[in-house]
Amino acid sequence: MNCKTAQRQMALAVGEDLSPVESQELQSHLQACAKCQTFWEQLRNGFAVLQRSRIQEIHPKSDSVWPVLANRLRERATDSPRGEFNGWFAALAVTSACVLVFVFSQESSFLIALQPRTGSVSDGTRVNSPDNLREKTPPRLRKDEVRPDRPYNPAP
Amino acid sequence: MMTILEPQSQIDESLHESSGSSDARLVEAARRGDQAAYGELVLRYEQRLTRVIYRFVNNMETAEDLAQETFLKVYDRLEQFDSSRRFGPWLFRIGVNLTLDYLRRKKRRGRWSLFTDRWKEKVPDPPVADPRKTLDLQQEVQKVLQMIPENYRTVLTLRDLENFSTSEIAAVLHRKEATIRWRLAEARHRFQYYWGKRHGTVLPENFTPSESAESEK
Repeated sequence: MNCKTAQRQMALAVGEDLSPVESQELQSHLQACAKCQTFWEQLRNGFAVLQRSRIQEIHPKSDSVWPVLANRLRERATDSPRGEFNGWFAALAVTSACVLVFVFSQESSFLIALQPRTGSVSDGTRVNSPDNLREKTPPRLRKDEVRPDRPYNPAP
Repeated sequence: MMTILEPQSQIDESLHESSGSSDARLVEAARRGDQAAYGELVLRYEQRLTRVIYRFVNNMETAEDLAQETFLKVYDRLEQFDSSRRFGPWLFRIGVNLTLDYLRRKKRRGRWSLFTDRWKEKVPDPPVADPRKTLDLQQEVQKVLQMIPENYRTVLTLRDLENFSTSEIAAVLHRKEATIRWRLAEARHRFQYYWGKRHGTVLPENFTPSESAESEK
């Protein structure tokens, strides 16, 4: 047994969690290894601290939890049909909302699709589109430039 | 007033096979809707369960609340209980898991409140010469236990503070007994290591708790 294995076995031995055979092997190692003996003493001290901390005064429960628990179980049993209904009602409301949103979104996209597209009206009238508007918008004139549709009337 | 430390025979009574057969009968009756039968199971286990939970939360009121929640959860899951197994470990598994979940939530809330309260004005703590001197052994042990990772601490608490056997812990935590023994050894090492560091005990040069301990197993 090497020291690493012995240290792991010691951690179990300190709480009497080793089999007799394993304990015997560990004893043999400890008798021959001073370093592991030190480690064993420290582990025992640590374990003793844990054991001492187990002794602790607490206030015992004055009453059993059962009466409260029984009431809660009874309440749940009587509440469950209403709860089930509420659950279904909520589910139905959410589903309806989703359906409405879906229908409206479909409808609006359908209306957009129905709108005449730019430059493709069958009766020949052109529809104002950003492109057409851009075409119709007269070009910006500089201050000294003459508008072609107005007579030239320079300021005196 | 009572002491938590009890004789081994009394402590193991609630998990032993002797009560197993009648537990199974009570569980069957409770499944059929017999609330009185479930009440008998509650009376049988509530003291032990509350005490075990108390070891983790260190607050009797919280322990009692969590015990109550455990019994409610167990009642809801009675149909899932495998009658060929013992009721005790199953109950304690649910109770321990509920408790660990509670502690994790509390830890997360603690972190969040630290983050959100950082702009608030903080009142300085009253001056204490050495706070450690005011703590008793129990608090000191708790502080050291908090330094140990949860999976080791759980095993250490159940074995060394609540006297569960390693096979019982294996049943409660749903792990192999070899894994529990391995974790127990590691947990005791770590406890000794942190206790020694905290109290200035000289440790052997070649020992430090293995950081990737769990991944090795």
